[in-house]
Formats: sequence, structure tokens, C-alpha cells
Amino acid sequence: MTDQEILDKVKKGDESALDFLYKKNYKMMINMIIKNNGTEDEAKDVYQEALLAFWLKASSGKLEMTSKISTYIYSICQNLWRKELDRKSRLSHEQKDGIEPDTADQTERARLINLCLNELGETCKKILYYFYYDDLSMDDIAGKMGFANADTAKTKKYKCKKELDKLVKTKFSSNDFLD
Amino acid sequence: MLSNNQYSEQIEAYLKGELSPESASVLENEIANNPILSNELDLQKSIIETIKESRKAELKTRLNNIDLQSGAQSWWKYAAVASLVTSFGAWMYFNSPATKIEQSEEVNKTEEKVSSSQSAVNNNAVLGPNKEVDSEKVTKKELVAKETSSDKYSKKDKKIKDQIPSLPTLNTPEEGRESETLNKDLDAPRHNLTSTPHLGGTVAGVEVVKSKKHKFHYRYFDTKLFLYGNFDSNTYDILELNTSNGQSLYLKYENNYFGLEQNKTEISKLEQVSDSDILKKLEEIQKK
Repeated sequence: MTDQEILDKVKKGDESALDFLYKKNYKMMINMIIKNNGTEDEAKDVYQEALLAFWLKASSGKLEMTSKISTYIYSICQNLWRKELDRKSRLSHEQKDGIEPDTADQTERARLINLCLNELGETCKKILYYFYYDDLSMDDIAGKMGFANADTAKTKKYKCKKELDKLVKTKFSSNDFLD
Repeated sequence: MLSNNQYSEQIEAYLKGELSPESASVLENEIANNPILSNELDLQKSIIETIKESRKAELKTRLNNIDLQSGAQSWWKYAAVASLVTSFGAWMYFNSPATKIEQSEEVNKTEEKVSSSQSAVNNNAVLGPNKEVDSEKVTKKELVAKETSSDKYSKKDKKIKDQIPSLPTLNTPEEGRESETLNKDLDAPRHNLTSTPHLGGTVAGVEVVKSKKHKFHYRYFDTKLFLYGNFDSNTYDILELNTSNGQSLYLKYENNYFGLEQNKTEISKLEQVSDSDILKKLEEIQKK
């Protein structure tokens, strides 16, 4: 696949392009991080983050490519890894701060929302994924989901989100909100 | 005042960054003065954040399941499960010359462990109910070939059986590393059909040499790994670890791990592994 072909696929949210890129660039990215004092696990993590950052930008159509895709991903990897090294060296200097009081609440909230998300049907879940994470256009969502057109996708997305909101709110009003 | 639905839409657009700066500041103003709206905003933030996290996790799982070893999408991956149960087991039985089995007896013994973490392959029928039958067949052949050290075989048999419960998980790859190795292993027979399977294809066998001079040493010679020392009295295992630089082998002996560098053709002392990352991985592959 050429870069252009890859980009075209990514813009439509076609994950096969993601698979292709992951495999194609794996060695290069992993080696770069390992050579810079990373473990293989860290390398993999950073590489995945970088690739997904590219995916996000490109799938939402916000990316103007001026370089090769691999060069672009490579530079994200470098940046992320530099940040991670910084973070590590800071951690070794200072004592870890206590966990922020909010975090526990938020984790619990996320857990509940996740439960609701999984109560939705597969179709709804996918639509919400594509809309909120991949940031695909309604046209592309319709294409991926096999809907007649963007309007159908829009209506479905609206209904799915309402359903999720409803599920979440029932969970919360009984658990959290009345506190 | 807007209706609830209109507020929902505004908040949604706001969070997507689609409101004009003017509308955004109007909304921000209202939110600041209205606890219900501000609660709603918080909740919507959490919901969208969670959707994103969930999708991200899904994509990461997808990436982790990608077969990094083989070039093209291989039919093998899918056919393997079915064919291994039937034909490969049969193949092992009919095609393995007894002499070969005898020669690689030590390999088999150690391989069982090597592969227990990852391979469903060299153990011919591990993927199906034929398993026991086949391993018994092979064992019988071995016995014909070499009837002497019978307790070794029973030991080996036991090992094979011990493995069974852990194997089904191999068919449902989930978190990353497992599936890589799974796919690799399913691919392995293609390359190895003509030789002793496994040990990364780099080592064709393991032989224990009793030596007065070398009590705890090893070397490679003619693609075979020679262990010098009193290894028969205690079980040892050869473990294989996939790293970015290829495969590395390790010897497990009395719960310690020793590196087996594959370029050592001279008799070398076994050096204990101290790298905690490697140790962690070695522990991990044995659990699976």
C-alpha cells in the first residue's frame, strides 16, 4: 500500500490500514525506543500510543501530511518517549504525590459508565466509538455500518447516545448523585 | 432559557469543540450559574471520555493480536487448529523415524516446557482429544527405540499431561503477547516439518554431557546445545523468549535462570540471569 492508499483508508476509518501500519513499522519504532533505554513493553506501549495518535488525526481528516507516514509516526514516538523519560526521571527525584482525591471517584464513575456502554448493543457501541473516538464523519459511519446514508447514521447516533445517557443516569441517581 | 434537549445538544457541540467562541462563552456563563448544567457537563465529559477509552482499549487489543511474524495473512492460522488435531498428529506418528525421536529425546523433554507457554504445535495433538493417544504412540515408539531409561519417559508423559489444562487458552488470544506467540507457533510447522520442531529453529537438540572438569557449563555445537553437568538428577527446562532481537534461550535449573547465548561454541560457564525484566517474562511464559 502506498501512503496515499493508507491515508484514504484511514480517513474512512478502515482499520485494516492500522493493522498494516502497525506491522510495517513495528521493528523500527520498537528498536528506536529500546536503543533509548526502553524495555520492550514500554516500547510497544509508546508505539501503540503514537500510532493511535496518528490514526485519530488522520481519521478525523485533520491531518495534512507533509512527510511520509512512517516519519510522522516515528517523530510522535520520539516525542512520547522523551516525555516518558522525563516523567520517569521526575518520579525518581520526588516522592510520588498521593493519589488525588478525585481520582478514585472518577475511576468508579468510569467503571459504571463502562458497564452501561457494554449494555448497549454492538451497533450502538460501534457508532459511538466511531463518532466520539475516531471522529468519523456521518457519511463514513454510514459507510462502515452499512446504513443508507449520513442521516440514518445521525439519527442512530442520536438514539444510541440518548440510550446510554439514560442508562448512566439511572445508575447514578441511585448511587452517586443523591449523596 | 433553552429546553433540556437544546442544552444537551449545546453541551455536546461544546465538548466536540464545535461551538462558535461566542456561543461557547454564553454557555460557559450559564453553566457557571447553574449547578444542574454544570453537573450535566461533568457527566457528559465522563461519558465521552469513557467511550473514547473503551474504543482505544479495543484498538489496542486489535494491535496486540496482530501477527508480527509472518508476512501475509496466512490460511495456516485458521486451518491450523483443525488440521493439527487430525493430520499433524498423524504426520508425527507416521513420519517421525524412531531414530530421530531417540536422538531428540532430550529435546522433546525440554521442549514440552519451552512450548508450554506458547506452542500448540510440536506437541502434535495438544489441540484435541487425540492428544493423549498420540503422545502415547510416540512414547511407545521411543520405548522401542530405546528401552533403557524408562523413568524418563514416564516423567515426560507426566509433563505432557500436566500441560493439558493450560492449553485451551491458546485458542482464544486476547492480550497481546500471547497471540503473537500463538500465531508464530501455528506457523512454525511450515518451516520445521523436516527437522526437529522448535527451540526457535536455531537449536536442534539438547544433550547432557557428564564431565568432571565442567560442572555447570554449556556450549553450542552443530546447532545442538550441550549442557555440561549433573543435569539428569534434577529436571531442567529450556525456555524460549521472543524479543525484538529474535529469540533467546534460557535454562531453568533449580528455580534459577541461566542465559544461553547462541554464539557460544566454546564451553562456557552458565551465567545466572539477573535482569528483572527478563526474569519477569520468564516467569510469565511458564504461567500461561
